[in-house]
Amino acid sequence: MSTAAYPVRRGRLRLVGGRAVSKTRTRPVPGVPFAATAFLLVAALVFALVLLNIVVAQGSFRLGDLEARVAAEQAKYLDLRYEVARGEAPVAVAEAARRLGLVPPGEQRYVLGSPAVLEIEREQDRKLKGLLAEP
Amino acid sequence: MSPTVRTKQRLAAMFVALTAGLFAVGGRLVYVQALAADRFSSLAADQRERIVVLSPQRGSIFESGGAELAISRGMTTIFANPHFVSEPRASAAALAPILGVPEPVLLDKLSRESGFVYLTRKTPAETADAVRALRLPGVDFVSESKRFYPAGTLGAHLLGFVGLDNEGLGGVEVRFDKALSGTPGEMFLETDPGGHSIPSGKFRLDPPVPGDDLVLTIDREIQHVAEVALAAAVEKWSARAGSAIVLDPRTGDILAMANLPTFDPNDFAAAKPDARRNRAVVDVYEPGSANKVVTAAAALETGVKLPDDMMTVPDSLKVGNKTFHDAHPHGVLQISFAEVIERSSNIGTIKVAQELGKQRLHEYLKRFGYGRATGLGLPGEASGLLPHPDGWWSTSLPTIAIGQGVAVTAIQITGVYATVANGGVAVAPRILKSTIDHEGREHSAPTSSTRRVITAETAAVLTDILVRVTEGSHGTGEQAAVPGYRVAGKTGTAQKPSPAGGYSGYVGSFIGFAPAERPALVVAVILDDPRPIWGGVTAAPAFKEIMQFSLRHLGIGPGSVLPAEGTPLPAPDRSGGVEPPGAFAVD
Repeated sequence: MSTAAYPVRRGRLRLVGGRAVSKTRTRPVPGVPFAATAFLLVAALVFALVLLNIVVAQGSFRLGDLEARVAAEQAKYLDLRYEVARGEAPVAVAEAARRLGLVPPGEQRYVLGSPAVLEIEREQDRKLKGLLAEP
Repeated sequence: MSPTVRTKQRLAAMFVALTAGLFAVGGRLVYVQALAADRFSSLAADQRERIVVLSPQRGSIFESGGAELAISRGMTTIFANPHFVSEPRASAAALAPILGVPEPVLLDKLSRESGFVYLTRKTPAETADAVRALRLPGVDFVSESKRFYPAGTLGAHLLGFVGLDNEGLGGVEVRFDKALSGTPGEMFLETDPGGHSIPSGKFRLDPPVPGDDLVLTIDREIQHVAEVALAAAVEKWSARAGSAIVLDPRTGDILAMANLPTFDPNDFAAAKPDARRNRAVVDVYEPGSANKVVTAAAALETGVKLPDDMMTVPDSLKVGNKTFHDAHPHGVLQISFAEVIERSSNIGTIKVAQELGKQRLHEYLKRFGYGRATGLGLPGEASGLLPHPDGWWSTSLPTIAIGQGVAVTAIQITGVYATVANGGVAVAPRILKSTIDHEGREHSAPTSSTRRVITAETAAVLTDILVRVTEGSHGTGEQAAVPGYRVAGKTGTAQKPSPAGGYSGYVGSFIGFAPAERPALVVAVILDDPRPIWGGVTAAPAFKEIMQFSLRHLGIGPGSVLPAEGTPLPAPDRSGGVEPPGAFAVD
């Protein structure tokens, strides 16, 4: 049997981008690897999202902890300031002095110079100031 | 009916039902998502979003040297939601010994049909920790600040106190409440149904602005000595109450203001209202002989009298229907005007006032600040009483001249002597030295207003006369003298008006300043109903004690050795260094 009696069946040709492409040359994408890749990608994305959320939450909790610690330290600082002020209060100091056997100081007395002496001292003072003022 | 037809009917019915259902769901969707979207989103937000108001830290109060007089500390308030308390009886029994609250009271609170009850407010951390360890359902905690006054009763009347919600209720706490309070902040956050913050939820924080700190003019040491000396005087002379003030006449700064009876502002509720009253600014009294300084100032200023003008002074004088007496009987004296004041003669002063006339006396009383508040601004400050001369009786002039029939507060009469001490210029008293904002910047308080009341010459002459009160052979204020210093001042012994009419009891006082040559301090001591009644006996020793300590504490030497051109004498050098010229501390 001659082959010339039967025309050879060819794929239908069509014009794509100025070039003829045969339909028979396209290949179907393999289903399983594609699905697996897509699943992995989505899973990784979801995991990353959850991880990010956990990290953010963790940071937030840590910040909360730090803020609580700062507040506690500030409270402690105020407590210490209060204790210092209480210890320095005149009543507390007087009581402590009494316990140590200390007594209030006696009267302070002054020996006053006579007006003449004071005038001499003022004169000396003025001279001293004058000397200091000279260049 | 053929099966085919029945099937078709069933399909049609199902189609109709499904379509109707679809329309119903669609309609509801449109309602929820479009028509009532705002309402539902608001309802959701209400469940999820919370706004927490953040209370600012109340500013501290410092004395002039920087020591803390009032401070706020964090405490824990314990509250309960009775709806979540499963066993009120057991919870009350467990909480009672820790909180120190009777069990029936707690049981009543925990059994209420309410969503919130306070169990205790502002309790220490140890108590809160002990309650927390019980892990009681429905019991929760919140942080609140509480006001503390570390020096206890020191300056209690001046400082005042705050209420449970930190609002000022007395003294400086209420006077400067706005500055001390600060501005509340706000925290916006999203919470889960359990009330916990959602970490990735919406969050906004407007932090609170803490209140300003106040620096007062008060000197802690002088305040303490004033309180101790006043308490000793009140006890020794069996007085009912007393006040003491220390003031710098040059600036108007109040260095101490003490009152008795007193109270502890840390537990102000335990004190009687009478003990919480700042008598020095709230109570008025008739100043008695301390008022003679105004009569004398008016007489000198108007030229009615000179210090050496001689006067004939009997020991009694009839004016209108009333006979006035001197404190002690004596024959007819020929004494100078200066000696009239030195002896605190009622009759001599009345005779001067008669020459002066009621209009001029009233004018000078007004000039010295009688009848109006000093402007200190402390709560309840009284204006005193100064009747208009048109309403004076025939006996009003002599009565007022010797300090009866007019009424002043302790701070007003202190201001009168401060005016004389300051060369005739009145300086309004002030209590606030500066404020410190939340960024730590210090802002000085405005300086006090000033006004001239009498001339410098009159003030100088009057000062010399007042020195005779403590140094003169007939002076009534001998016990107020401070060794080494010249002290100018005046005793006062005045009758107290009785609520039932007439007079009952006395007020004894001594008010003065030192060093007389260059006055740096004014001290007033006023005792309510002392025994004996005389201010020169009861109030003067306390004056001396306060003045002596204050001069030494501030390093103010005797006036006669102050450099003429210069600043006050520096503090005596106790380290063995060179003493200031002219003054030598010998012990």
